[in-house]
Amino acid sequence: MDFNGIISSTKSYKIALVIAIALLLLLSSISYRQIINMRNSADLVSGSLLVDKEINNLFSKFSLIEASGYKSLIVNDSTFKDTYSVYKNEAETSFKQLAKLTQDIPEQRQYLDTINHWRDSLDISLNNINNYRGLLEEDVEDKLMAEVVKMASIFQKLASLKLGMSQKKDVLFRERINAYKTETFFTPFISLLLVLFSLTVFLLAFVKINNSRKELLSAQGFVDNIISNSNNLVNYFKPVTDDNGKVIDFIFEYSNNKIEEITGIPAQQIIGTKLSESFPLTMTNGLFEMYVTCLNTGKVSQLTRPYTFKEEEVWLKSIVSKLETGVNVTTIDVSQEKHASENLKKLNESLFLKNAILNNAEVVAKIGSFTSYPEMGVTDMSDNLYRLLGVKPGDFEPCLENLMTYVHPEDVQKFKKSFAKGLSSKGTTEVTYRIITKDRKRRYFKSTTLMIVENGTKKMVGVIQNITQSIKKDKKLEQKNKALKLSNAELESFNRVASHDLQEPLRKIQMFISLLSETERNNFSEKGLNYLDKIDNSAGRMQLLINNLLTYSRIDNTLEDIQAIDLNNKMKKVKDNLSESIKESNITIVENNLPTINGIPFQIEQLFTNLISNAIKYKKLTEGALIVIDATKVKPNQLPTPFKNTENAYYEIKISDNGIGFEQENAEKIFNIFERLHQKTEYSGTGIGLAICKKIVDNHHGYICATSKIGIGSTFYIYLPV
Amino acid sequence: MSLKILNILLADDDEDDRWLFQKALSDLKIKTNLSLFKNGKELMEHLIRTETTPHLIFLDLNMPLKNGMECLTEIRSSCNLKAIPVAIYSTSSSEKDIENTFVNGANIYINKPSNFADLKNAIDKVLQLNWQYHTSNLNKDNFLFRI
Amino acid sequence: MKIYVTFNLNITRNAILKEQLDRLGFDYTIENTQEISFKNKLTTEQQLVLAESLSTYGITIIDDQKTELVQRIKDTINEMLADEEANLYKISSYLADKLNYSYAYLSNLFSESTYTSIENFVILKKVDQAKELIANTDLTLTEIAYRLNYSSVAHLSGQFKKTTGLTPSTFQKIIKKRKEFNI
Repeated sequence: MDFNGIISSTKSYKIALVIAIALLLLLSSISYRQIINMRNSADLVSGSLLVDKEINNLFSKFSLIEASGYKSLIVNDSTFKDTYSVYKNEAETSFKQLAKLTQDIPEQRQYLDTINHWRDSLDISLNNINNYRGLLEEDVEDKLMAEVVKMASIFQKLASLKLGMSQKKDVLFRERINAYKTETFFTPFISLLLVLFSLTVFLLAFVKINNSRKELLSAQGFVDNIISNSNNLVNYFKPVTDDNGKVIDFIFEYSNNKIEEITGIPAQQIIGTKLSESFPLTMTNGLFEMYVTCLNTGKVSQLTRPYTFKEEEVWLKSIVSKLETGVNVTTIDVSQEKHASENLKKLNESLFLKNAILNNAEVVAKIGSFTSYPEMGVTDMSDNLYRLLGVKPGDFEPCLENLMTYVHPEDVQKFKKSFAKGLSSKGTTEVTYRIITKDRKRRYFKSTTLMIVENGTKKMVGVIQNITQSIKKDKKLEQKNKALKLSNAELESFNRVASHDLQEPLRKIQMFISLLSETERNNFSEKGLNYLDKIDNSAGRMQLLINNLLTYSRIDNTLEDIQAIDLNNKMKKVKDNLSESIKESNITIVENNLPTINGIPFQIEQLFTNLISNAIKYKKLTEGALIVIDATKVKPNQLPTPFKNTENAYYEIKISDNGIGFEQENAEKIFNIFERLHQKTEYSGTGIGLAICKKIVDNHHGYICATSKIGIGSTFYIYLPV
Repeated sequence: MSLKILNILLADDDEDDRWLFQKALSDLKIKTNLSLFKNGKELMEHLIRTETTPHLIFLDLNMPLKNGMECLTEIRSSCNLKAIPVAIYSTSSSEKDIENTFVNGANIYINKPSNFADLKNAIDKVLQLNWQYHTSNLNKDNFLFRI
Repeated sequence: MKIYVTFNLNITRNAILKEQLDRLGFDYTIENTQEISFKNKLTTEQQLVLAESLSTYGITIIDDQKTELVQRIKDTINEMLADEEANLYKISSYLADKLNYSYAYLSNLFSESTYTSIENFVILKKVDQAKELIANTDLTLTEIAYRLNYSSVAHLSGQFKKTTGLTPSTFQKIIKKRKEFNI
């Protein structure tokens, strides 16, 4: 809706109205004058006609006078005198009339003056004649004759005067007729023009008024719509006064739809009610007082107060202004702003807290940070950055030049280069350099900078990390790696020694023992044979040890030959390998649900061989031995806690026996190399078997543990990734 | 015709092992003619010199001057010797060593036993196998045994 | 370049025999893989010439009745292993039937002259066949086990390992590598 258009057009309409009125007045006056002119013209025409009539009338009297004069002369009529007197009066009347008619026409008046002169002369002549006729004197005849001639010439003069007058009258009449004709031509035209113009003005005015009315209607609707759909509650109140004229309450005169939204009560129900009845709270929370003040002073004021509507707290801001005899109140729901500001407050608090945490974190993590605005030449440095440099926070102006003074001279170029690179690149830039702290300590710093553009401002944020310790650790690690490589090489040579050089003499010892006991048995005393057996046992144990050690050291942590292994098949093989001792010890092995796993075949075989032979080894001598092998799939959360698992699912392979068992407190020890829980003579073993198992399982990224109860049996749990 | 006398060579730097081997062999039923060599070099020199082709060569791996592996390679690359069955006779039980010797043409791999009876059994078995491969139309390309 | 060949030993042997016997102008018939009958009795000199010419090909004239019988036992075993239906028999009864000797006698004789038992020989022979199939075909162990009348792959693997000291897969790996190294 273009209110500007409406407003600006009123001015032009005013001008148009003035012009229209002026034009109408002008046209009206022209028309009026035209009509007056026309009437005058008509008057003149009719005047001319009267003049003509009076001229004829006057001169007809003169003719009658002439005729009666002559008649009296001829017949000697004694009545002439009376007759003449009548005609003379009638001529006098006509003359006066004519004089009156022609008073504006000087030429005719001249004629009339001349006529008057001649009439007087005539009167004298006639009187003379009449007088002479009664006298009987001789010269009367002559005298009479002279008088008659004189009279005749007067009549002649009068006749010529009539002609002159008539001619003059005719000219004038013709002029006046022409003028009248002209007037009669223009007058209707002007009148028509006036009417048409008026009509046009009227029509334009009507159209404009109609449009304005329509616009006004729509503007009215628009305003109504705005008010009723406004996010703000709009109320208009009329004051209620007591007998003394004091305002004691307000009545709702108008309320828009928003009131229902806020309070839950429809506007129709509220309009007409008293403020104190509908919203009693307003009488006590300062709102009523504000209305009264506004009403009295006309000052616009506002008030924000909490209300409870629909069981919810609502914060309303009321802006009151005086309007006519009441107050207009616009009420805004500021709950969100209020809550937002409360949230903001909370946010600020948490931000403050986080800042504190960050500062603390920087200290703990030996990290400093800075923010640089290269375009503005402004740099902020965190407190801990100062501390990392061995100074107090704020000891120097936070700028890169000052920071640079702490950089090790040999690394300044590197630092500058990286900083320049950081400024020009979009991603992160890293640089490691040395600095020398205020107290001349050398530290390794790593800066990671990131250029960001925020609200059009280029900003470089950087994290500076004190990596002195990690560099030192790296160096240590490097040394350790070297040492490890060395010891690995040593281990390899040990393997060679163990596998060949150690075994060689041992094997020969055993060989000759076997030869001795085979061929020289009869030459030995019983004691000697006993010693021989002991030597043989020891040599056998030593060989077992060496073999086990070799096996243990050969389980390296490479999973090169990894393949799918059906544990059912593997178990068959294991049982095959151990068939003799299984038969010997009369052991029963039950296998349930063995899965196919991924592993290194010979290692898995070794694992199960060791576990089964372990169970056989530690069986009870009193009852039939039983080994049960079970497997289930388990989720990581079902795994024992010490196991740092990484996969999504594991197989739990459970190997239970009903053997002699061990103390549960030794459950972890048993997997340590050379850890033996029993006397050497009691149970054969090298103390490496379970260590081998553990190494194999570790190598497969699995976990092995055991539970046991003395006299009841042991259960070994193996967890392997699915 | 009764069984022929088998010509057997053994190269081993260990005197005791040579003696034990000889003793074990002599305890067997099979009639053999054993020649002993202290190292690979001696063995190869003998092989080049002699006109009689041995029925079987026993080779220790770890020997001075010329080790067992070198001998094996030389035998397998020689036109005259390549058909002779070779048994490796070593202390090493490393899978890698075993595989390596087979790949390089060994027929039999014997881990030196630590018991005299085992030694006799092992040699007996080797001789039997060798005999079968000589007499029973077995594919010599697949003559691979580990004892 | 290298090519790999397999022999049908019977054809090879017959071809060699035919060539040599024809060359020496004998009137003969090759009865089976082990027997050649001559129309006329050969002189000692003729026998020596023949023995020498055949020895070039590694063929020896067996002059011993027992050795001959051992050879026949071996042949019969080969026949039996080649004949699918024969596999249904027990080796002992099969040999006794075929050769008309008591199994105890045959077994004894065999052990005496070969230092191994008939049973071991059969196993060796079967393993040799398995080796042949593993080395020269793409058959799976399951297929080989089925072909060689083993009850299961495990049975085959077990017997293979027990006899050779190697697992079938290790054997296969070695043969493969040997071929790569051109040995």
